[in-house]
Amino acid sequence: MSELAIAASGVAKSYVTGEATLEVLSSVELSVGRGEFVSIQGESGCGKTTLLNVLAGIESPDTGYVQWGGDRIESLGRNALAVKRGRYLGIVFQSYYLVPEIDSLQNVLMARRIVDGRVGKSQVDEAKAMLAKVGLGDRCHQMPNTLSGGERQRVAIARALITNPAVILADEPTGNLDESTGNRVMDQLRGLCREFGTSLVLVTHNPEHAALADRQLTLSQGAIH
Amino acid sequence: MPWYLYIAIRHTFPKGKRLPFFTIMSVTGVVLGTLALVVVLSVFNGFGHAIREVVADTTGDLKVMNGRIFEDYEDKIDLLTESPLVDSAAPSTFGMVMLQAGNRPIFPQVQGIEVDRERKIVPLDDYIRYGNLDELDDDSVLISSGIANTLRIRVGDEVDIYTPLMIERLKQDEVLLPRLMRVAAVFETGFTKIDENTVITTLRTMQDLYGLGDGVHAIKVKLKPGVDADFAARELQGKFEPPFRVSTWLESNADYLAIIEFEKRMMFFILLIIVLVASFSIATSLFTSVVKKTREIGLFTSMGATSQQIIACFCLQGFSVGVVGTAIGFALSFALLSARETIIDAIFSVIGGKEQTMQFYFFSELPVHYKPVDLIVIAVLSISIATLAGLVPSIKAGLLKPVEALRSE
Repeated sequence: MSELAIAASGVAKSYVTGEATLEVLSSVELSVGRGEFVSIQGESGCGKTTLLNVLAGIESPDTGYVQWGGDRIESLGRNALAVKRGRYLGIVFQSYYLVPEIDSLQNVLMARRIVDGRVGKSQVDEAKAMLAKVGLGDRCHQMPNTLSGGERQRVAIARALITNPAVILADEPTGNLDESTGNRVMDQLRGLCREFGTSLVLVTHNPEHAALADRQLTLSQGAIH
Repeated sequence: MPWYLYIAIRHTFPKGKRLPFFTIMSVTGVVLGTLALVVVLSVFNGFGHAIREVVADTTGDLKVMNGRIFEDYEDKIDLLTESPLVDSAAPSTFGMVMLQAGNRPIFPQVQGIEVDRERKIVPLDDYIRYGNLDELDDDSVLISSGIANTLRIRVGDEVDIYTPLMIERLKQDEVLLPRLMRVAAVFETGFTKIDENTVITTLRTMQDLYGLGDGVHAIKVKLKPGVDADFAARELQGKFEPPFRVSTWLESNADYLAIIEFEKRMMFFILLIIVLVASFSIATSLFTSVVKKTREIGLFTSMGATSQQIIACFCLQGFSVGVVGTAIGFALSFALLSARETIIDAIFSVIGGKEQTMQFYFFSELPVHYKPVDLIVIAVLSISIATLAGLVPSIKAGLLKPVEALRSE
């Protein structure tokens, strides 16, 4: 396998609800190489989103550890982890999560503002170019509420890629879209990750989208198969 | 611009959309608080400033007295006018008389002056409303507009003047008749304390009425332009032996100024409550905003935002509400105060009684004076309170766990 981009080793995660303990992940072993596209499927509630959150460092595992580019992240403090996450990962959510008060261009630039502190003309040009790559070159100044679901998700993809991250974690990015729009979005996401050499970890229910991956994995009973 | 400032501004004042209700209410609260503070404090400053100006105009800058009657006032005037600080000096006598016109008596303050010297200290000619100052002689008086109105007397009418000297003489079985005097002119300074109840006679007449001989009570001093009254009082005091004392108009009217300053401070603290109430509105609104934006907070954290940046983002929303509210409040205050006479006229045209109300406040119009220090204090306090109001909700936002924020419904 090529150089390691992101990995989980012996990751377990359970939730206590009242007196019951729900074990979601029991012993996950996962390694994703640089530029590799890995899809993860599984039944609803099997822990796919939890696994992505653990990989993103948004949630801590009970046991085991996560590595970004070979570095373990469990020793990093909350802020240091957030800063590293901003530079190393891009996350695409099912519900897009665009900031409603700013236009498409500023939503894309937001990732750069957070990572770089400030944005100048070159970053603005980059963001416009990124929006053009996802087919929204003419929608730069559209507010999110005037965009269709597919367009919003493409803005979210442009936002995730604008910082040139090593890994994109995509949590059912086509889950809210119709089939043809979902296919178009998926094609763009895969194409751009390939173009930039970005690793892609895709959680999806759609077998056709999962089949596009270099490796197809399934999460069941808390483990990767 | 850092992202947290950018988002704070966009959350509060979104581009191309209607202003959020929370922004309107919070900004309105700060606007009202700032407006009330600027208007009230500027009017109080106006009263203080106007009293200082009017007192200096109507009584001169300094007063030299020894608490008794003194006769060598010419020597002392020479001593004073030798100083490079002094523009001119004039003798002055003062007291109280009973003035009667027909069967209506009143008890005004009386001043005895030498017209030519007094003119160099007080712009008497500017204050004459009816009659002529040059008509003032030893058998005539100048009366203030308040007395003229109260007793319904005009220039040329005659009035009887009774003095405390008559009572003294009566004790010695000697009867002094009241002095019949003609009204030479009616004056009005704009300072109600003087305009309500003052009579001016010549120095000789006053010396006769009070039995002062050649003595006077005080010397009024006008300083050269730009000379500080306190400094000049200290300098000139060196020329006089006790019990002579050189005092400023400020010391003589310290009671008025102290009351105004005290009232101003009280009003400041009372009106600050409006800004505090506005801060609760900001805090409540920001709490609501934090709940509404929980997922967005999770998003920012997932994109690399630190807790401090999230806190700054929400705190800056309170700050931007404070800045905008204060700016609008200042602008409205200046507009309101510049149109104050029109507004006051409109109010009194409905409720009536303008003259009585204005007389109560010593001035014929509402005075306003902007003090930069007061304006800076108001601006800093309003913005600080608005920013601090956002602190608690901001900390709540900053401490949200990203995973819980992203999962929130």
